Amino acid sequence: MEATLDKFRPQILSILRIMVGLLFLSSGIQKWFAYPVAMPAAANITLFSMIGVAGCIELVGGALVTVGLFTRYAAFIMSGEMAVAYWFYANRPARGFMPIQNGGTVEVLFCFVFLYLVFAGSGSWSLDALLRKKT
Amino acid sequence: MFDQVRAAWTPHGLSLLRIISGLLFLEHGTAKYLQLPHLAAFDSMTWSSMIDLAGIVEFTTGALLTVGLFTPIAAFLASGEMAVAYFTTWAPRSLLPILTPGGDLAVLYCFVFFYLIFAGSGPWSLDALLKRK
Repeated sequence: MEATLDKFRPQILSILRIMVGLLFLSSGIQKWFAYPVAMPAAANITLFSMIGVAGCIELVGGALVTVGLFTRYAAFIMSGEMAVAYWFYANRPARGFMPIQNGGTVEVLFCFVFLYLVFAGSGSWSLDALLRKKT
Repeated sequence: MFDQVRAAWTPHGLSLLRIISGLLFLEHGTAKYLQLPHLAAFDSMTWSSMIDLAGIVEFTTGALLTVGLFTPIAAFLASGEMAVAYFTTWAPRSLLPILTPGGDLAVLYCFVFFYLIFAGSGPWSLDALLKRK
C-alpha cells in the first residue's frame, strides 16, 4: 500500500503545486486587474507600494509555480512574501496569537507550502521536468 | 552543493509542512470544542450537526497529523472533509475560491492533505519512530 502510494508521489506533488499556484495567481490577478471583483485594499494600486509589489510577486510567481518553471526560486520568494504579509502587512500577531483568531491561517499555510516546494521542487508534470529531460 | 542540501532536507521539509498544517487544522477543532480560541461563530453550534462532525474530524486528524501518527489515513479523512466543506459551504456561494475567503483555505487544506496521503509523515514523526522500532 505504502509503496503504491509512494509511486504516485511526484505526480501528486505536481497537482498540489498547480493548485497552490492557481490560488496564488488568482490573488495577483485580483489585485492588478480587479478580476473577478475589485479588491478594496488594492483600489489605487501602484507598482511601488507594498500591495503593488505583492501583486507582482503573486502574478509572476503564481504563473511560474502553476506551470512549474523555476519552481524553487519562485516558491522561495512567495514563501517570503507570505511571511511578510503575516507579520508586517496584515500585522496578524496584533490581532491575536492564534492564526484562526487573527485571520492569517491562509497566509501561514501558503508560506509553509511554498517553503516545502523550495525543497521538493516541481514534481513530474512541470516545465522544469521537461527542460531537464532535454538537457 | 545546493542540490545535495536540498535533497537531504526535503523529508524534513515535509515533516515541517505536516506539523504546521496539522496544527492549523487542529485549531479549527479546538475552536469548536474547547473555545480555544473563542470564536463567536461557533457559539450556536449544535451537536451532531454537520459542523459538529467537521469539528470531530478536525480535532482528531489535526492532532494525528501534528504528531505524525497514521498520517496517510488521517490526511485522507482531513482531505475528504475539506472537499465536502468546499462543495457544501463555499462552492454554492461562488465556484471561484478567491471570492469566498475561507473557500481558498478549504481548497488549500484539501490539496495539502491529499499530498500527505501519498507523501506520508517524513522523519520527524511518530510513524517514523514506530517504523524504526
